[in-house]
Amino acid sequence: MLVYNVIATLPIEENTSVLIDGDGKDFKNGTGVLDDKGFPYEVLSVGMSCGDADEMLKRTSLLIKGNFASEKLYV
Amino acid sequence: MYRKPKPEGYVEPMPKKQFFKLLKEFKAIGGTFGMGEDVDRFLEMQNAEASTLNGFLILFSSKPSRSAVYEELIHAEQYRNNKNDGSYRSRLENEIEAQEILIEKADEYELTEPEIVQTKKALASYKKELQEYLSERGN
Repeated sequence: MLVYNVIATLPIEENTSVLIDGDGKDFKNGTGVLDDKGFPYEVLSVGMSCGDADEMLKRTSLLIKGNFASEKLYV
Repeated sequence: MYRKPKPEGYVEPMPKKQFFKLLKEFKAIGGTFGMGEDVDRFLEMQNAEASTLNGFLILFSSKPSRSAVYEELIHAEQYRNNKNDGSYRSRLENEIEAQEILIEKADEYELTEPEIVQTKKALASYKKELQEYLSERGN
């Protein structure tokens, strides 16, 4: 199991946009993840962000179903 | 009157009138967008100007550039056309396509020289990353 640091979260209606460290190679739309309490969540989609390309590859934004509030994300 | 010179590589924001016209068009097809202080803070953590979360949801910083707005609208369309499954390969391929469209339509989109330079740099970076990723996987 891999663990990712959660850098920031942003509630969007009933879902949460979650910014994690790393290029996010382990994710795709529909990937199942866990929070630090072991609760399961679904990655609805992986974000496409605009800025310096090399910077964009260092972090990944995910749209997670539900209210995700955890400092770690497991996949 | 003295005006402070713009720093090298300065990218000007899209004029508000043009920005809101595009947002109106996006909303007309069912799109929604997030803007405001919370969104700005979230995007700053990624050093991003904007972020497309699916075919109908985009986060914009307060003053996005023309290239950022058009790029995110392209990404949203890619999502709507099921071109993006969210995998790393798919994201890189979609990034490459988006940068190529921006360069091809630079005149139509009225992109400034710094934006074109930045877009070409991004295209090269994403192409390199895709090549390395595929070669790591033995493709």
